[in-house]
Amino acid sequence: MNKVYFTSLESDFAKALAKRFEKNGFEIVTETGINIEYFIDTTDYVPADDDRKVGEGLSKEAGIEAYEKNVCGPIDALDRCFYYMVGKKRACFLSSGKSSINWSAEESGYAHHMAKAALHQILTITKNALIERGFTFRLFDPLTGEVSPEKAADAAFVYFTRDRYIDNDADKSREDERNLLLRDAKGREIPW
Amino acid sequence: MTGADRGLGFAVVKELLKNDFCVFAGKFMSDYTLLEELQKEEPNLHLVELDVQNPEHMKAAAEEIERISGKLDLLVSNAAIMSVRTEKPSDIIDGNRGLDLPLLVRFFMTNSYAAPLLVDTLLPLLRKGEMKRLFFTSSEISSVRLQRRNGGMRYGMTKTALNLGVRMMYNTLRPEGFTFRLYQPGWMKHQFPDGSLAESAIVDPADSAKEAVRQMLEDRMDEDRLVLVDYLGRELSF
Repeated sequence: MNKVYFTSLESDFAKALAKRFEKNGFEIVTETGINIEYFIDTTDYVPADDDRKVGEGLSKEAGIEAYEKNVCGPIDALDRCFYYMVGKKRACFLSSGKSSINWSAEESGYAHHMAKAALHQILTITKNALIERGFTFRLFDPLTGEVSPEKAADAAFVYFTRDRYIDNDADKSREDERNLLLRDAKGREIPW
Repeated sequence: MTGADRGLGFAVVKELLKNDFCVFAGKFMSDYTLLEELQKEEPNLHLVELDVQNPEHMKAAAEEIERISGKLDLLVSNAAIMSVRTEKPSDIIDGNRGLDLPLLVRFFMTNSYAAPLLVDTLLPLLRKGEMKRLFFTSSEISSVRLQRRNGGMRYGMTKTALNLGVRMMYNTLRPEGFTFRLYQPGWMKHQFPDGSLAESAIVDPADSAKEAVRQMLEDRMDEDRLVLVDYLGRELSF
């Protein structure tokens, strides 16, 4: 039985997503081990002092904390799982349209959103490096607070498990895995 | 001006002085004395100790600017780390446990998060300025859409995060009349402590600085768009 590795099962979204994988015959793990088919990072950490606009006293500590939790922790976990990954070798991460340079209308949350923007580029470069070794990647915005964890988990499960093709599912001649996307719980593609 | 010790930063300082600006140049690198030499002949150049990872340096710089000029027209955020020696040199996730995570944090805090922290500290002075212009040195490799590299994530990710930080500042400050510049300076020749340039790379820092200062000083027709523009004046996709 292949496994799904979760960096954390604390959030309602993570628990709901784990249930969907279990129903479909996967074993859920939170420790590194053999036969991991899906790596799923559910980290979405917002530091306490990250609610200020520029000019209201931004916190240096929030920047460090957000980067360590949202970027360093997850990529270190993926690095640990690297040689155990099999099958689709799919690494899935959470982000947000609020971290999109072309999309964001946010005025606060600098630490959290900038860390996630850094993650976008890390995953793009990592995807470029690892695609030839069979790894595939997904970035997903669960729309926390707007879409229920259950519905977001439904959307995430479909997005994470389906292979992507340029044309349609019936014509699998041209895969689209080289094109990393950020997709949200409503199925929309979010611009970078 | 942060990151003024050498290269683009030092060349921009010289260009701004030619344009009759009073310049506060952030000094960080003790092995470079180009700024001190220039200061001997430029009374409008003021040096401030500025490690952009140190909020106390930012506060001290703000106090110095307040004392001397009482306002700030233009902020040039240029300080960045490109490469450092590390015992864990891996710059990609490859399963070999070679990621230097504390170094990644340092790159993020210096190249990305320091920019909004600095604007946060200097905003009262910038609000008193007449230009209200914020200039940030970014890079073509900040673009997620155009990214084709398969290594070098340590530096590349910082400029993407910087662009997002600038977008967020833009969201708050553009309605107040602030204008923004994101600049791709080109692959520049390294400048040594004696002022000489390495032969490798393509762009002379002085040439890139002339274009940077042109973009700093000229108004654009479309200030309501945040754009990344390179040293040849070409707009690049995010």
